[in-house]
Amino acid sequence: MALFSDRHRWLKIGLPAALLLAMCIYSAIAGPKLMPRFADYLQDPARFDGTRFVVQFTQIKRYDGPDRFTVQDIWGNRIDVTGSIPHGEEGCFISFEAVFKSPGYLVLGEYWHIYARDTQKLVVSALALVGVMVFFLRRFKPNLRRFRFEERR
Amino acid sequence: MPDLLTHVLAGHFTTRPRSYRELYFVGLILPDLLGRLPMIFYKLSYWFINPGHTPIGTLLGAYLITFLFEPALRRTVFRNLLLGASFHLLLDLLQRHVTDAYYWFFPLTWKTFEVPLFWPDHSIDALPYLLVAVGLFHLLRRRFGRGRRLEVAQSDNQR
Repeated sequence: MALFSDRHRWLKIGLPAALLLAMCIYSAIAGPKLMPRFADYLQDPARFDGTRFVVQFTQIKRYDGPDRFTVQDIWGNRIDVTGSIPHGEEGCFISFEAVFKSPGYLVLGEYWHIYARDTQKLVVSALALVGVMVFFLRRFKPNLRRFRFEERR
Repeated sequence: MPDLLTHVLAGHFTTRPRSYRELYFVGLILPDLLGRLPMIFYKLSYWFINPGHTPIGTLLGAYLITFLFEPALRRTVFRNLLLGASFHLLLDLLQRHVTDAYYWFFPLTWKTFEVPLFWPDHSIDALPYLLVAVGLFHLLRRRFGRGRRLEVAQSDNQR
């Protein structure tokens, strides 16, 4: 019970909050190194020519032909990709294996996946979120003065 | 990640806590609330909020949330949130990824693993079937479950 009592309340809140914040900062610093950034590759194409990597969280921006399309990473940098994927998926996220080629395009590998129906997923998730919140608020009410949820009597 | 409705519906098939069930359902969506929701509004927040979708981050998040309740309830709040969040993460473990799966042991290591059964976007296709299954599950439970047995026992006692 000691873990959940109000004794040393601010220490019990501050310590895990600081730990969580430290984890977030560490992730924000170390995480992006796991993800290829198109801008780095495009700055020095000759150096990275032939580099194989896995691309994630890129959005299909447009199709430039039957076997050519443009993707954008989360930093907003765009790059052309040579390879065939189903058409009509603009705006969808795609993850794929690729080889970087100078002067600055990617060759699509064999393994790729388009994350379709993103909008439907968002709508359905929002519905679930509202449902759970209504279910929760039927049992608990917020007390702003005491900054806590209290059970409805 | 599968959509939140899939998480909430799939949570019906596990043993749910009898008291304060609402918190179990909050737990079912907790990892996505902590580690995914801000990304919808700001994509670049992905790496910063990512620890919220790891077991240790979820544990810390659930512990912090307990302080939003009165002391007598906190233990139950923590238990129910963790139960729901564990089931959420278990379901996420079954997803396929082209890239790294979720970072289960973060911040100790970036190494990941998965049990690749379905793609994250395929959950939406399974949703109608899941809805029917949950409906059936509740019908059967009402007919043959513990509540029904209690009802029968009470009516027998009255006789």
